[in-house]
This record gives sequence, C-alpha cells and structure tokens, in this order.
Amino acid sequence: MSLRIQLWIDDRAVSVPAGSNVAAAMLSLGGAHRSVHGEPRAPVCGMGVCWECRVWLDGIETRGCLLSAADGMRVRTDG
Amino acid sequence: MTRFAIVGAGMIGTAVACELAEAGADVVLVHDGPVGGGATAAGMGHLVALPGSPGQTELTQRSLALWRSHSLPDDCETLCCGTLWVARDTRELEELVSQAWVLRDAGTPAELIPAKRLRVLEPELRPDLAGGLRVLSDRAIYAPRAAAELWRRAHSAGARRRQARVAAVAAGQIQMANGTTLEADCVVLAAGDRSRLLWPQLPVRPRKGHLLITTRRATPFIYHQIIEAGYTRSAHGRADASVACNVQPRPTGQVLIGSSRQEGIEHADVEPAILQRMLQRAATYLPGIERLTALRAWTGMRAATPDGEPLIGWIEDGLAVATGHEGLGITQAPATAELLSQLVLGWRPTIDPAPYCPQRFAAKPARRPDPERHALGAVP
Repeated sequence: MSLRIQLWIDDRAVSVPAGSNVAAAMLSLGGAHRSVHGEPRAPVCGMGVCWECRVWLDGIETRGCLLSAADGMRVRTDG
Repeated sequence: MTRFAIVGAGMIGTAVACELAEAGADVVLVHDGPVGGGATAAGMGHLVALPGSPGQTELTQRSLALWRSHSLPDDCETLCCGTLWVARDTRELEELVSQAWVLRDAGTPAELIPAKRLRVLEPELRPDLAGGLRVLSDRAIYAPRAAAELWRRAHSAGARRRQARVAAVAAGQIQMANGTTLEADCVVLAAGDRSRLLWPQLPVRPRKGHLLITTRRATPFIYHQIIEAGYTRSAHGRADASVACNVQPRPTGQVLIGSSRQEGIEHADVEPAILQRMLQRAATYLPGIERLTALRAWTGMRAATPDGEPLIGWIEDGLAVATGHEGLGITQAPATAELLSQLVLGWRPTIDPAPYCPQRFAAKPARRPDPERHALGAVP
C-alpha cells in the first residue's frame, strides 16, 4: 500500500497518494475553483498552461499541477 | 434592392452590416472566422475620447455619441471606468492641460486632478506623479460581444452571412477560396489589416500590439483605465517599437495590461522582449503590478495608415472600404458605419468625409467620385 498524505483545499480535507500534485488532489474532489459566474471549474491540461488549477499557497498564487502535494498543506482557490 | 457584400465580421464589418441592413439594404456579411474574432477580440475595448487631428476628433466624438445611444446587453460588460491620464512631470502636465481644452471644446468634460488627489483616486499609482486628467465619460466594453450584438441586430433586419475564406475582391464581386463567387452592387472591405491582402494598393499595414491579463483579485487593483500622458505620442508616433502604460480594470477583478506598438511585424507570436518592456513600463506607474499574477498574454494587429486617419469611402465604383482605425476601431465603429453607409447609399453625410477619403494618398489626386453617379440609389 502506498503512503498517503492529507492536505486541505479550501478547508476540505483530501487524502492522496504521496507524490501526487495539487491538481490531482483538486480532481479527486471533483474540481475546486469556481468561474467568475460561480460555475464549477477543474484542471484541464495538467502541464502548466491552462491555469485552471490555480491555487494560493502561503500568499502566492501558483498552479496546482506544478505543485507537489505535501502532508498538512493548506491551499485556497479564492485567494 | 441594392445588394451589399461586406468582407470582415469584426467591430467595423458588423457595425456596417447593422447600419445598412437597418437602412433596408440587402446585406451579406462574408467572413472566415468567428464574429469579432480578430483585432476586435484582441484589443481593450476602450471607448476613449483620444485627442487627435480635427478629423479624428470629429469621428471619435460622433462615434462616442452613437455608442451612448446604443443600449448594449449585459454580456457586453460595459464598464463606466472613465480614463485617468497621468503625467510624470510638468511638461506632460502641460500636455494634459491642452488635452483638457481640446476635449472640452469637443463637448467632453475633462477634469484636471492635482497630484495629491491622484493618490486618493488610485492608491496604487506611484506617489511622485505631477498630476492627471480624468475623463469620466470614457468606458470600456467587451468588444467581441458588442460585435455579436450588432450582427444579431443586422440579422434581425434581414442580413445574411456566408462563412468562407475570401480569395479576391473586385468591384461588385467576391471570389471565395472554395471557387464560388458572390455578386453584389457594392463590396465593402472591412477586414482590418488583412484588407491589404485583398487589395494590395490599400495604404494599410499591421501595427502589432501585445496585451496581458492577470488572474482575478477579490479587491479592485485600480478603478479607472489609467493611461500615461505619453500614450498619445506612442499611438501617433512612427517608432519601430514603442510601449506605453495603459491599464484597464476588468469587471471580473482581473487587470488588463497594455500597450505596445510594433511596425513591420507580420507574425502574431507573443514576443517576450516586448512583453517585458511593456510590463516594466506599466510597473513604472503602478509598481504593485509586480504582485499580480499573469494569466495570459496575446497579440493583435491594428490596421494603421500612413497619416493615422482611417479609410472610409469609395475605392472605385462598386468597391468601398472601412478600415485603418489603428487603435480606435472599437471607439470609431458606429460613426464609421454611419458615414460609410451614407456614402454608399448616396445620402448626405453627417460629418465631412474628406479626411478619411481612401484615395487621398494617390500620386495624382483622383477625381472625387460624382455622388450622382456613384450613389447606388435610394434603397426601397
């Protein structure tokens, strides 16, 4: 059994295999951030182009697909 | 019924289609991409009382009045942000003072803003500016949706469209790349900088611009469209490459950052060196821009003419043109459509068409078309 880690996306706890990126964790929640009109959005490209997985980590906006998930990490999709 | 075929479905082509269809003419709009998908979608959609030559000023003022009379649907995202012109030194401030009088003479209220008040209006502006000029009546729209709206109105008035790549135009005829042709009494070329590919003598060339948009912010970064006083020099200048601070707040909380101008570049690639210069220029005025996250950057081609005035009117019998607006295509679209329609229908023009005559660059002055002969007659 692979090692699992837990992180929080907008205060929702999500458990993923170690080595996952944050975009994968967002997908396992069925998407995370909302469009400006409140429609659900989800990661698309997985390679740093589309920015649909953008999250805030420690006051910095970044792309979830380029960010390795870490145990205890807390990210927000709304700044 | 007089038949018109309009090439190009950007802001100008759709405005002309709407004007002619609502006047009762038979209109076909010919285009190969989406409606409003070219320079219309690439620009800032700023409806701006930009000071310029008397001809430019008259066309802009007439057009802004027509824009005010349009009620645009919500999806056009009309933003009443005004324009805040900012000066770095007393020389630029003097330019803004003269700009204020030009605008006031043309009927547009313009308010000089002392340096101290700039910081109240826009806390993100650098603190050592000399002052500003605020034009509250300027607005921003999401231009591709406005083009779609004008197409809807044209369609309701009976206009049709044909999606096809145009291979060649001639007086009274369009040849498509797929070999078919379309006959019309009058062909109107409104394809922006690409118009020259269809009519090589046309004195219009691409002037490339870059834009960058940020991700959304929960709180507004700026409240006005902020433009440096030197923007007008960049816009009217002849430099191979120039940048000027021109930054717009979007209703979504995003920030749209411009502007650049490049001559003689045919490819639409984003150029990192120009993008960097443009962002450094914007950050000179708004240092906090460095905190924002860039989401996307893209380019567009303005259609520029040698003297900076657009081309509106007859090229020859059966062939007319409406392009060459450089950075003012959205601002000047309604008055351009009105004037072109009046010229091709043989009606009395609301404003003097002479500054925009497409034949003004001819080596020998071309004989002005005889309105009796060139007018296509009253539309039934």
